[in-house]
Amino acid sequence: MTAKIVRVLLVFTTILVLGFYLPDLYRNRFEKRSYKRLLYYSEVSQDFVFAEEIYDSLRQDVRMVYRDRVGNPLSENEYARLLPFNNTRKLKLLGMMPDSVMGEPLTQEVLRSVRRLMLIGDKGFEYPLAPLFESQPGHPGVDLPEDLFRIGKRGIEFLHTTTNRIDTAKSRRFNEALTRAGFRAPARDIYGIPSTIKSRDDGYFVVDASGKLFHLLMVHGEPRVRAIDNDFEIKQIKCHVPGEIYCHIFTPENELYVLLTDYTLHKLPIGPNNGRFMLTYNRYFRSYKNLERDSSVMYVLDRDFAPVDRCAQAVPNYRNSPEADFEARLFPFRIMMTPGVTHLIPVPNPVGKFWLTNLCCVVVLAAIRLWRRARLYSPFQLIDLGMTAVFGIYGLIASLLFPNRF
Amino acid sequence: MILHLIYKEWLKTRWFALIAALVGVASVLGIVIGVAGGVRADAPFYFYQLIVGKERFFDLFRFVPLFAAVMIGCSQFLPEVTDKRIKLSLHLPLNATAVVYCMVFYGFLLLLAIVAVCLLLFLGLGAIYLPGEVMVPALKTMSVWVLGGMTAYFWIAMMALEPVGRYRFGYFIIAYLLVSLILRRYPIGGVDTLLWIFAGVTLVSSFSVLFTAYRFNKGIL
Repeated sequence: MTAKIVRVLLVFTTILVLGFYLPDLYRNRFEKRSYKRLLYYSEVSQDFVFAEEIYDSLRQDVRMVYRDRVGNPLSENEYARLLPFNNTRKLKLLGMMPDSVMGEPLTQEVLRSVRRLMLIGDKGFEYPLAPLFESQPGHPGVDLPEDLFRIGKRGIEFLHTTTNRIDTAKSRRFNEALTRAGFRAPARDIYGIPSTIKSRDDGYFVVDASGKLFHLLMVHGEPRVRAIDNDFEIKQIKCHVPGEIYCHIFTPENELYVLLTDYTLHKLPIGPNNGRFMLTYNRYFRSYKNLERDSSVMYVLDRDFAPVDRCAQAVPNYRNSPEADFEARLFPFRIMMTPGVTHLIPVPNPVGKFWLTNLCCVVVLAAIRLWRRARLYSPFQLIDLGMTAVFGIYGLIASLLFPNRF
Repeated sequence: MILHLIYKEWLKTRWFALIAALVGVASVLGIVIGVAGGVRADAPFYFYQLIVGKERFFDLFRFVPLFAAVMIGCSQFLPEVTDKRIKLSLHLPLNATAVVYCMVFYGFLLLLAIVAVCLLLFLGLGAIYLPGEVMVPALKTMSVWVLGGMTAYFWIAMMALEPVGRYRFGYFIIAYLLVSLILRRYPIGGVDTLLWIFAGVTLVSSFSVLFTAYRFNKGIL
């Protein structure tokens, strides 16, 4: 009896292992590259333009086609002229760079004002230790400090990297400054750019035990702390390299706030989203492209974060392909592994798709067992058939791998 | 009689266990020497690499639990099954399950002792140079690999006792897939939920030998 129960547990474990590997194997073999569909906002026409990869059956190759919002086709050069910030080098080489945009000469300084970055609202793992750089070192760039800081129950502590001991004097100075600003230890989260590859240090944004946000800097070796009046919960903060924006702040509902260097907070007029954005901003507009699995929605805001325009576009996705449909018919579920903080998540397919495969698997298993003169109505044979009915191809393989003869 | 059985297991495994322990200790010393060298050469830059670059300074330990599991498992079960000597043990005036479990439990404790020594050494020496904020996530990631080693050991014991070659091959494939899943290079600090899942898998695997031992004892083909 014990051996039979153990066998059931092993079959179940095998089903989970197969649920992780087999769909991946199928996708590696059959998944085709999706054709690109790009969506941009043109500062020249102040409207959206599209670029799309299509398969040219005549040339048997993939080529790009371009069009404007109403569907008028554009040549490659016309498309490039509409997006001078994206195609600066090409337009300069061809001598096609527009003289001005929005009534302002298109100087080198204006062209350099463009920034592109990813905003992701999900948390990854970060060590609760970080180097606090000197924010005014007297030269461009930053110097790597000799210590790291953490903010635990005892407040901020500076840990000397060579000796692995706490610098009590410095810790006390910074603790006093934090306490004066109304900070309550321990820190819930610490956000910043701990990299040395930056022109200037803007310090760290620290969420205290009560959820209040603080800006912590070190200027000439002394603490500078500023409380920020946030009346919302903070899920994640994405800090930026020096510029006019300190950071973007995600709430647990993926509402997005932006904190400017003058400490003003703006709630962005962005609809429901999945917390994954491609942000592009320049002197004139800020475009937030929300990257969903099979669509992308671009919100264009002006310099003061007021809405200008919005456009949604369907994006080809493996989920909508015939291969994905066949996968859903073949496998009852798949186990996916998340990047960053690793989770194993079972993703079930609709029963309506895979029930026929599962039924076939049950019939095959029953036929094999009958051929081997097994009694199908014995409890453990019924468990095998039941697991195959639920887990389909995984159940069939697992049941056959572990012999059910005792 | 159990003590005699354990003594027999000790005689078979002692040298292999010693090799596994030495390899484990050497790997931990290698890790600590690397950390100490980095800290002495340029501590701020070394910590910068660890914290910002998320350098996995303890990667040398990744296959140590698996190596120890293979050494102990093979030295313990291969001699028993090549000449079917385990039949003698299974005919002792003891419950067959108790005999098999005694062997497996002995091997598990030996493996546990080896990895415990390695982890304690890592903790003791590593804490001289690294703060708890770095050591704890590192230990968590290493614990996943320890679970991988334990799972591998239980599946080796299970495969060894399987009397039919083609089934043994099937178990090997599943064990290979399972252990490679557990021994992946997971990101530091990103294994909190995985630890519980893999602990469950290891627990289930610990019973697996009962299945094949029963088949072996009954001579089922």
